[in-house]
Amino acid sequence: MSSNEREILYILIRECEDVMGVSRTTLVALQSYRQALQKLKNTDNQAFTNLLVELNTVIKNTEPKIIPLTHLIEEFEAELQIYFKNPFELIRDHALKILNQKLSRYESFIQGVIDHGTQLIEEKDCIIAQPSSLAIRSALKKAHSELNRKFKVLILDQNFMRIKQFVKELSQEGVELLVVPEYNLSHFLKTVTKLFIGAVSITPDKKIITTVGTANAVGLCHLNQIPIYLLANSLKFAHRIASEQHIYKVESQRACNNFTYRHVTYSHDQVDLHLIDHVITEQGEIVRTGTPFFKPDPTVG
Amino acid sequence: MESKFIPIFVFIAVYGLISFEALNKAVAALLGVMVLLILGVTDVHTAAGKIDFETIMLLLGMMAMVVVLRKTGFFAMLSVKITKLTGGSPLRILVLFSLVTAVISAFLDNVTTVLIMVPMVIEITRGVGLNPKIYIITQAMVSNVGGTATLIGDPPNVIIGSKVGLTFNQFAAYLALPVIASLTGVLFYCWLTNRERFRPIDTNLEKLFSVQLLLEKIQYDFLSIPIDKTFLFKSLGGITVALLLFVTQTITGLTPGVTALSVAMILFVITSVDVEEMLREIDWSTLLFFSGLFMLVGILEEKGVIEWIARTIFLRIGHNPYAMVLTVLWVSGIVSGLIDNIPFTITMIPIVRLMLESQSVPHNLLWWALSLGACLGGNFTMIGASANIVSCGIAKKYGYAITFFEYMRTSSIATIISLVLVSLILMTFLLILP
Repeated sequence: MSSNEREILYILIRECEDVMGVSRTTLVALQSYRQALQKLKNTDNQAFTNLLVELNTVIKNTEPKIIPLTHLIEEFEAELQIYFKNPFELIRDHALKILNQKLSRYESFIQGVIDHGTQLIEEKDCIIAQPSSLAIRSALKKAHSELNRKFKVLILDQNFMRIKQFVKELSQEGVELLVVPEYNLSHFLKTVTKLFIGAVSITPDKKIITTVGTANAVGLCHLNQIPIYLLANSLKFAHRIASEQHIYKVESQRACNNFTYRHVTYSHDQVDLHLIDHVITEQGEIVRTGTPFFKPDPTVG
Repeated sequence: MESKFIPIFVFIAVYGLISFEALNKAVAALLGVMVLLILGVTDVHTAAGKIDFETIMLLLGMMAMVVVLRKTGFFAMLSVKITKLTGGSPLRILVLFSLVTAVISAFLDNVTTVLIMVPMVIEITRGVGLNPKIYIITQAMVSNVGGTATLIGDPPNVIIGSKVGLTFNQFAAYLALPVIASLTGVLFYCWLTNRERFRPIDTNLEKLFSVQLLLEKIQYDFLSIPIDKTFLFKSLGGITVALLLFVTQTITGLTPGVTALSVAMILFVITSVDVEEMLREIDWSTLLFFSGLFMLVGILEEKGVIEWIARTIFLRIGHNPYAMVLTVLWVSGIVSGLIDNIPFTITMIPIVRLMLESQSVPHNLLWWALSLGACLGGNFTMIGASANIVSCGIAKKYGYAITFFEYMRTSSIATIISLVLVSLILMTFLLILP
């Protein structure tokens, strides 16, 4: 794979994460991997295994790292390795089978978070919600449609591409909502009862890598004693510390009215885990101090 | 001669300003008219009487219908469907997008078509790791080719149809074959000269993965577009009615201009759109440009300039219909590649009329030669047609700047192939049609 092709794939995954969030990007990437394998034309065993290793390496090193996807691809690699001596068709069949298992497993993890998240939403709540999280979006919809709870949602206006799907889904569901810029949040704090955030990853140095703008919202809610809930499945717990999560940094020279300055942006925010009041995973609420950092699936060979 | 000299000078100056984009087209044309009025070459009523309101009504009606249809999300839905159908195959991207672009261009204006199709083509080709440039150039070219097929597809056809009184069905009947041949020629040439780029990707796992991921992303983006089904059905229904009325023009007696504007106004009423917003999106500049040009050429005609050009250049070729058809086709083709084909067509209509007075050519073949030459010739260079300029503008915005010569390297030979194929077909028509 050329460096240009690798860069294109990095950009594509970054764009997907930016718009869809981590969980959906992970699901979509696994589905795409499955479809790509199905469409792959006959190749010899060695070339095929090289292609797999090459693609896996790229997927595991995106900017930022998509941690659930990385874990699942690592598991996939480990499970598939024992079949590498087989003919192409056989390796492919096993690869598809393993990918299907990974997809189902991840879907069940997300469902677990949604189920527990739904229970947190109470009557007359006013919840600030991070728009890119699949679990938050689904929990809000479920609480409204299945539990018939009446609540209000303040959507953090972080990125139009990210909020438009969220707004469309909640509007169709009939949930009362308001889009507010994250920098204007101070005006709404008196009515807010909860803050729901998602994460790209949770690192061993007790940091959360999350969408841009979330750090400010967390800081503000923490100072105003508004309970902060992190909804994240356990596959988001990373092996490596925050500085190794490949947060994408862009440095540029900007010019405005004959004034030139250096401008730096990061693709994601870092939030201290100790600012979070409740961490909700597929197993329910876990004790923050005893956060179970990711351990490989015991069923993996 | 003095009375001819001023309009000729003004006309050449306006052409120059338009060709070198020194001034906004509409401003250049209307400024030319104002100069003639101030100098007393003509009066306001005579100048205004030269405007062909049938053409203006047809263009305004079609623009209004497109604005409403664009609001429905129909185009977004269509491009997502085609993208999915391509499956990321480089050759399928070229062929499917080209076919859809050609068909849409036949019914909507070419600029709208490329505005819809080119961003999607860039998105998918770069996502697959392909260089989008050849695809962008092809889309611009096929939009011009497709637009040639119908009365409403391209401004030169709108002008010829309205001014000469040719019907929608006549355009479709006589131009379908040349357009299909031309489209095939353009696509074949693009494939032949870039076949390495169109190799299948089904042995490349990384590219297959990228394509699938990209398709999922496009699908997800599309899901966030609100589609109002009632609004969509009303809009599509309105356009279907307009097409039916175009086809049955000889029975209903309704001219295309009346049909288009009536349907557009009915759509404004039944869809309850924000009319002010819709009106803002209409390309008034083009409509003013047309009006100005009609007045300028009308004055030239009145002063005998057009007749002088016809007698000096075109009537010298003799009375052989084959030579007349080929001359009009190739002169229109080459000149339209260098200057805007709209003023050229408006100028050529009275000239072709004079040619037909000296020697009749059956089956309106001289008009078809003008239409094919003016529309297909727009492909010769980057500045030959608005769709080319707009496509290259979009490409530049995405970081793929296409130079004048880069464009011409592909487009000039493809256009010559088109014109050769069309010449053969028109000659065959002359030979075999009774």
